[in-house]
Amino acid sequence: MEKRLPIYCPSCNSFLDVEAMSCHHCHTKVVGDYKLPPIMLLPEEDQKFMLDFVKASGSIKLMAEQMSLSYPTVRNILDSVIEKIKNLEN
Amino acid sequence: MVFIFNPFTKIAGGKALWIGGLFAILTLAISYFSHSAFDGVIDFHVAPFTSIWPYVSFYIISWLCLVLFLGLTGLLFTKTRFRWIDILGTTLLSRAPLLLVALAAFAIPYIDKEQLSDITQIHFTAGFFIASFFSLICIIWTVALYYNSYRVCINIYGSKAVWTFILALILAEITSLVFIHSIHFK
Repeated sequence: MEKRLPIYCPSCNSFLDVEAMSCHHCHTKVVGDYKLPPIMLLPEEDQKFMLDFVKASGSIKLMAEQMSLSYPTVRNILDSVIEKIKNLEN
Repeated sequence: MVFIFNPFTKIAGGKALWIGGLFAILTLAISYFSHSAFDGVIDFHVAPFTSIWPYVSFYIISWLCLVLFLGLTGLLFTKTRFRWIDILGTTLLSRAPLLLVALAAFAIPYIDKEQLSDITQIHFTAGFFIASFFSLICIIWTVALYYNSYRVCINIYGSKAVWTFILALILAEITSLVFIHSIHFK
């Protein structure tokens, strides 16, 4: 089963923070209060888009070919992801 | 069904331009024989000309006026860095249903000014009404395609998309009529 990173609190729907991290090699645990980076707060499909976009060297044309979509459609998706990141940063 | 009203999520830019160009060539070839003149962004009249060039010039002027005003509206109302090639291609492809209008025009006779002055003397056939209604549907389809082309290329949505599109369409229509009448009917 593929586990998904939970980003929303099931109780109040706010963004979740990271409290603990552990090393699977030596079992050291780090406990603190860490914010998730904005990219991690994006929906899964937007994260995948970002990853594919970087792999395509930031080429909208190449992304359009890979996604079988037109150039302006891919650019519009990118614009909407940028807008979401800006909102998360603010 | 979605694809016939919005093919632009899949096709835009140069690809849309050459497909739209093929449709334009076919439409104009048929226009010459059916005497269908697309003398405005959303206009269609049956007008016999001895040469194909009036049909070609009307078609190109109308298209370029639409491209100009949709692009200018995009520059004024959105921050998206759109490409003019996308507007050129998608608007030309949007005019593909006019091919069907050009075909329907075979069933629509030319009515001159003299006949129009005494409309009771004109014998309207059932074919005339069916072809006219069919042409109207095709022109509505064309406008729907214009709108989706504008939305996709400019990345504009909501009520802002609707009123800026109507504004651009009206301005393009007026400009194309002025150009066509000043060039051809002076």
